[in-house]
Amino acid sequence: MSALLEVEHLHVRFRQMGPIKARLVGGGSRFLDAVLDVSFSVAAGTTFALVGESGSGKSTLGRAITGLVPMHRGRVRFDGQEPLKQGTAALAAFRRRVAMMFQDPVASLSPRLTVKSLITEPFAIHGIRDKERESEARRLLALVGLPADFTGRYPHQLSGGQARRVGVARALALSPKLIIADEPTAGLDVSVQGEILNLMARLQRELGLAYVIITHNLAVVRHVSDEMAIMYMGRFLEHGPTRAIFAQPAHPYTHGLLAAQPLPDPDKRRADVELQGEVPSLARRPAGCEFHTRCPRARDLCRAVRPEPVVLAGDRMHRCHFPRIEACA
Amino acid sequence: MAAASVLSVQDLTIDFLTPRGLVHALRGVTLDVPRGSIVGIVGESGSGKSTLSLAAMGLLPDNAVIRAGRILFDGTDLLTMSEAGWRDLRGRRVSIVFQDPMTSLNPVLSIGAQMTDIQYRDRAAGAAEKRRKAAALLRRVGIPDPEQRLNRYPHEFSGGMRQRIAIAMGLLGNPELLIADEPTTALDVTLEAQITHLLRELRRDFAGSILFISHNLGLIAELCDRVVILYAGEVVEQGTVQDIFHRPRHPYTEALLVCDPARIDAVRRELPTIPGDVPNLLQVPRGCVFAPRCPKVFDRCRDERPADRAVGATQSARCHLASA
Repeated sequence: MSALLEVEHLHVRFRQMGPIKARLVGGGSRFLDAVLDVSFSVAAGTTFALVGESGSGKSTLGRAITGLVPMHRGRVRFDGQEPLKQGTAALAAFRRRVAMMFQDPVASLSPRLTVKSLITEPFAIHGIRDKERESEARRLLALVGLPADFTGRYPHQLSGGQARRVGVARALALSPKLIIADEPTAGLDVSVQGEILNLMARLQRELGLAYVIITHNLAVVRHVSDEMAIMYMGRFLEHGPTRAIFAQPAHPYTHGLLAAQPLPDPDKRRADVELQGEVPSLARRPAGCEFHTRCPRARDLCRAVRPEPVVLAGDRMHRCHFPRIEACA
Repeated sequence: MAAASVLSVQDLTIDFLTPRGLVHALRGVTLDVPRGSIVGIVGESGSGKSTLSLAAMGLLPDNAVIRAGRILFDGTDLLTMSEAGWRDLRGRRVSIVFQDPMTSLNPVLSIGAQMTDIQYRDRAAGAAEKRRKAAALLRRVGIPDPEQRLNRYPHEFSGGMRQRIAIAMGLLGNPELLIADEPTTALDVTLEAQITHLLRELRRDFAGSILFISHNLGLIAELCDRVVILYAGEVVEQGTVQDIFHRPRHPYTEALLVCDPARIDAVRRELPTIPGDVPNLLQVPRGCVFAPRCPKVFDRCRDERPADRAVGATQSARCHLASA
């Protein structure tokens, strides 16, 4: 099956200071590289999970795919086209087929608009006038399991889970093929988290949607995604089928992240913390492997030479000189 | 003689006066924090866990009305205490670490100034000695070169470092009880692991007690000795951490454990949920507070409020079905 979304060597760079300040300050880079050399593809009807700590570049990557953040280099192909490099018409068409669900649904819903206005606003933005707004709003609410009389409500009258559903309804308004969901369950209680994920799974089955889910919740990733990538300082350190990575992580960072998840079992308490320290600043990117400052397996080679991607059997990739599993030839 | 429990909450009932009416935030809450132990409070949003921690610090907002109950700190009733009594207690014998360290640290004062300020009780010590004590505690919570860092301001630290500083400040008075209200919710998982590990070490070093409030079952299992399950303002179940995780007796606790994706071994797309919503606390249901969502509900649950029933030496559940 051909891929719906293909990202090749994507590089997102933010300017940190102008050339004059850079000369005055001296040293360091003028730029912050938020996403570096990222390649992956998502097939129709599948879920891809982007995992990483704060500042890993996962949200920036999601925004760059939809053109909300300009890319410095690389390609984003959707259905074989490159919409971000064509004119505004192609970009508008692309944005009808790719929807974004933002973090914090209450903040992303305008407090002055009713639910009906919120979920049918995409029609107005894209100049679609042949739809009857009221009936469309009812159809979308039914799709996400909210009662039809919610059309007149305002965001402050919704619970966290309901606001999340309205966010899903708005993303679905233009019948997209791909939804990029940034932390779809952050801040929700476990019982409500399941409801939202089940809703997303049902919509995927019924409408053939593909998802890119951006999250730091590994317990959720294991259940809902087909493929996953672990990001650190803008790079994919490991990438492959979710099941295989959970069964046997190759990169020490992946292993450390999995080990840092507390187990809800008082008889399996951990004696030690595997990953110490914090993510370094993007403005002071470590030489060699970016992860060597925190890596329990780091050696001299790691401090000097940046590891290139290593391809493993079973569509897996990692960037590590001393992985926890060996490449099968 | 010191009481066996550093904190003892007995039948605490708190209402909030709001424009829409009385919100019955806590109803008949009873729990104990034995000396030297870590007690976890688990609850979803709106369960009243933060109201409980604020009540124990005497920091409830003005619209809170304490209807009934007692909060005993080392045997002294906090609810009848004077403001002077509170000032003597807070920061010295009991302190609190909040969820967001950026809002609990003063942005316009250096860390050193804040950490020496709060040692105001120690009249005998000079400024240099207070700074030395502050630096020693910063080192203890894992902040490298603490002497230099004392001159820095909160915005110059990362989120994880700020939370470590907040914990160090909480420990400056060497309190008997540290209340940690969702201390790691704003942090990444690798930092969360570091902070929980730190709390466990500190409990050992300082021999204090910790009231740890969280909605993360993994952290509770990892850290706590006893667990209290709060639902819609009531303690529905409490027991040792083994009781709660291995032998839950209240249907809500059971449902909560089933919903945690980290506890589900086989990968599945369809995740379990608890159908229905948390009850509106303006009108608390007549019978059991969990009855509208309970899979084991029967007629009696809708009419009669269940009492706390002991279901073993260390465990109790507020459920008609619970029996020893």
